[in-house]
Amino acid sequence: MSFSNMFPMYFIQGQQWLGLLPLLCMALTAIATLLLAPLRLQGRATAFAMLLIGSIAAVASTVVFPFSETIIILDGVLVFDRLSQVFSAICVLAGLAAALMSLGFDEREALQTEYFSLIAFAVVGMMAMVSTRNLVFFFVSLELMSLAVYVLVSMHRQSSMASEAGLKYFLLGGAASAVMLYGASILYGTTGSLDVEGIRNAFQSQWGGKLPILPLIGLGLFSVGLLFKIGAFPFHVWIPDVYTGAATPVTGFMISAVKAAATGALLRMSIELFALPVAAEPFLITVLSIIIVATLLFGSLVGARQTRLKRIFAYSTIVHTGYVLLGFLALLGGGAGAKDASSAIVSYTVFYVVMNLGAFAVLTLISPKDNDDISLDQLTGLGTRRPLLAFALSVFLLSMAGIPPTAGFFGKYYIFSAALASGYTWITVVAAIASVVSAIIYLRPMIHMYMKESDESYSALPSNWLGSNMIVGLSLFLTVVMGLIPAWFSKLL
Amino acid sequence: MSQILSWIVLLPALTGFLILLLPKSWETKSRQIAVFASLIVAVLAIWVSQEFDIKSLEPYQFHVKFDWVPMLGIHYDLALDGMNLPLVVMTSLLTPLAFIGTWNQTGVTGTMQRRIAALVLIMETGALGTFLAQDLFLFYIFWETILLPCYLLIGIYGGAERGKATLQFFLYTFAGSIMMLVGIAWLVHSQAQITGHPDASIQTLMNLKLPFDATAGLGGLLSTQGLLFAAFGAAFFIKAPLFPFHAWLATTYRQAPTLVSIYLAAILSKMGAYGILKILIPLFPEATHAFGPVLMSLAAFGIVYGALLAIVQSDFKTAVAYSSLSHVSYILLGLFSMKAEGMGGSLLQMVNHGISITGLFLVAGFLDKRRGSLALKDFGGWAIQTPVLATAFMVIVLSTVALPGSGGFVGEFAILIAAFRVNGYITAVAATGMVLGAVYMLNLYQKTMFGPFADDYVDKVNDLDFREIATMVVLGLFIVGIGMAPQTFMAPSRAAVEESAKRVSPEDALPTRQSLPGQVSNF
Repeated sequence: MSFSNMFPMYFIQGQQWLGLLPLLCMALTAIATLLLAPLRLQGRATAFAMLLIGSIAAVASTVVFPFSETIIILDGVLVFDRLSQVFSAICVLAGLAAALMSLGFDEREALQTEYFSLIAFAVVGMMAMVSTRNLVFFFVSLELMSLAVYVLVSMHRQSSMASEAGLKYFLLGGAASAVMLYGASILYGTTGSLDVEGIRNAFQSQWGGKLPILPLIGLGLFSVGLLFKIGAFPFHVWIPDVYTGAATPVTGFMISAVKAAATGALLRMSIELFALPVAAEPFLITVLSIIIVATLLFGSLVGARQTRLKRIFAYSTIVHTGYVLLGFLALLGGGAGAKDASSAIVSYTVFYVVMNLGAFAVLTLISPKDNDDISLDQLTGLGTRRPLLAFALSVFLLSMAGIPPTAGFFGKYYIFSAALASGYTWITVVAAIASVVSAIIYLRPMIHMYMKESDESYSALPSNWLGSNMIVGLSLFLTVVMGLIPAWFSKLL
Repeated sequence: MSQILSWIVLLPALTGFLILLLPKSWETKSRQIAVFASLIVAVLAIWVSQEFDIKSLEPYQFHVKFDWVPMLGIHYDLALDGMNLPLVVMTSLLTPLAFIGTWNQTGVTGTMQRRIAALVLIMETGALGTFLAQDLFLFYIFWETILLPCYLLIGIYGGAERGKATLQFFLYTFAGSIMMLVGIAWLVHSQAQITGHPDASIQTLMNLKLPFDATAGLGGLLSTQGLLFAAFGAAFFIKAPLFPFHAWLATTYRQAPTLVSIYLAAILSKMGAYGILKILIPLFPEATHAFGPVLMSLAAFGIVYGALLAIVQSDFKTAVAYSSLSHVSYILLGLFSMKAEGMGGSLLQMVNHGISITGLFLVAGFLDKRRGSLALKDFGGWAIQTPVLATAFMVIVLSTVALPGSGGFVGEFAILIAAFRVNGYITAVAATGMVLGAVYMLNLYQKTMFGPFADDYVDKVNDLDFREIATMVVLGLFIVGIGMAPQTFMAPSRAAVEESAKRVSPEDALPTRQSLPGQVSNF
């Protein structure tokens, strides 16, 4: 296959522009925001306004111009369907929320306009990542997202840990990307295609679904990059340190948007690449099961002992990765639950993003100016100092713990019911036990907020930024509504 | 009016949220609003219990049902089915009584009044919803609604060791209920495989024939029905609790504020017992039969164990907590006998125990408020200074030891008869609990009310005030009323209980009940 075969001349026409529109909006925003500084149009407000307009245009274009059939551009380099729309919208909105939080949070840091440009670039990468079938384009999108996030992490200049976190994330992320690329090259070598459909057809025609060892290794190595981004067990080590070192809004961005994008990409690959005939491959299923159990147990057991809030949320996100992967197990296992599993994963991701953004918005409001790595002790007495904020944080924590009637409960139930339907009873029981242990993670902040005597030394309020308050309010509303009327949100895919 | 059950269930929580949103200047009115709302609920509950048609062939009355999450077959589905009627009335009556009886203990600050009033009302919604839900998933939602307010109330306003108590309470009950959630998902999935569309209503799930294989390992526990039995059992046995799932009980009851202790012992433990009656036995009859002897032995052991521990306690409230364990074990013994009279006796006993344990914890609250301590060594000779308190306490004691003429006698007697028909040895052990029960109750009474004064403190003790007297009088009226005419209280549930017993053990039909010709065993 020659280069011209791989990337032939191509004209985009008609409805294809509709599919491309959101991506174009964000890309233009990213470039335009980047140009602000060279043109000496300094001003964070301007940059944020541009990001706001671009994001709204991107989301609105999917709502205003809905399309029913799948739009394929460049033979599957870009694919626009329901899945890419939903995950793109999640990433755009999460990026916007993070930018809004930073605006109030980082006022003392004199944020440059590039900050907003980087967020926009990362979002472009995410949108491309969830809308492609081409492994090379996928890698490029992933790197676009990752490079922007590496810089965002290191930009937290007042923290001594930020550069360490940025470097750690960069080195480990680079290694994971290399492994992923190696996996892609093995797949290309064995099947002669870089396109997901081509690879799947080759699997079927060459081996009839029973894969030999080499393409299996290729698939496994390729998954490593994605498992790294979502923080599954052996690839989770970076999460606590990087989440602690980054500024709180950036951590919020990573925990919501980056996770959602990686989940979306994994979902597309699972549906289109790992789906039949590999589905019943017992080796892959066994490995995935081990990863799930280890992720759940590690996250909940270690998380229960943490005393710093950002670390607590870091381990909480590892536990949630375990639940999402349980949904993937149901999807790939090919049992009766497979057809519900993808919508369970989408619902879970939406619920998860909303409650984490809300929780991080609360964190930006209660972090002192000099050090945003706050400890549980600093939460003490929040229930009397800021009753509404404490109530909101409690709802988010309960939602993460999966207590009804919050969104997180239904997310968990969808996943459990899909996994049971696919026949993975024992892993579901392990997940249930892990959710009891992980309840400790979420109860401890509440114990400090409500059940300990108020400590006057923390009584000064660091921030009352309206933007973060709006995010808290909106997330709270959505968490409760999605818990009470989950049916509205279960048909996203 | 067709939505009356929704009003009964949701009014408390709505009032609770309203109370949370009250302006600061209204804070001190929270308790009045809470009592008013819970009284409205009580009136509505009594009204529906009067309107409930015993002779009707329709098992579900005042039925409210609509789809909630169609994808998973979940309905919003409330109905009175006779079995839950006594418990709904009990819950709705005990809530205002508990508020009024603990009036002087909940009112230190406005914030405290507001929080306690709101959270207890949310708990009332959880309890009433659990009893009325006819959809398994809805049952679970209401079941879990209780957990959090209870956790917060104990954690914020509990005793000195509240941190340990709350964590223990939360983890135990959450572990049980998450297993139930997995069980629900499994059941609904099995149901969907047969009919093609999921449906979580209890009535539909009852018709599932789940395979039970006694040779599957651990006496059948590893077969499908055995595993589901274990998953649901985990939730119900912990909440009730059944020995050996009771480890959280004493600390939690002891550390909770009086109002919450009442709720835990009188109402939450009944949720566990009701779950066994309504869900565990009808859905998994073969498994319950197979494990019946083990479960009855555990219940009988719990009766004796709780009573012995209650005897040796040096703290009033801990002793009451263990007495509750002992009495709840009676209820479970009756349920596991799977006989109509045993299950009916248990249902009656649920109401009796709810009333008498409320009385006991109220007395504990009265003593604590007046003495600032609950250690038995600090009491003695109070009968002289506080004759009204002593009289009220005596009435509660007599009801608790199941004196003939009190409701407890009828219930425990029916339970023991049913248990005896199943296994005489277990019943012999259980019956000793009646004697031991008299020992610890009279012991408690003697050490507090009789004997020499512990010190000169007794001079300053006030007798019960008007609100406390009113509460105890109402409780006393119920004790005597149920004892004199248990059938008027239990008639609505009779048909439902017999129907349930017939389903699970058709071979031993009661002589008083007409066996239908042509009825075949479903085993």
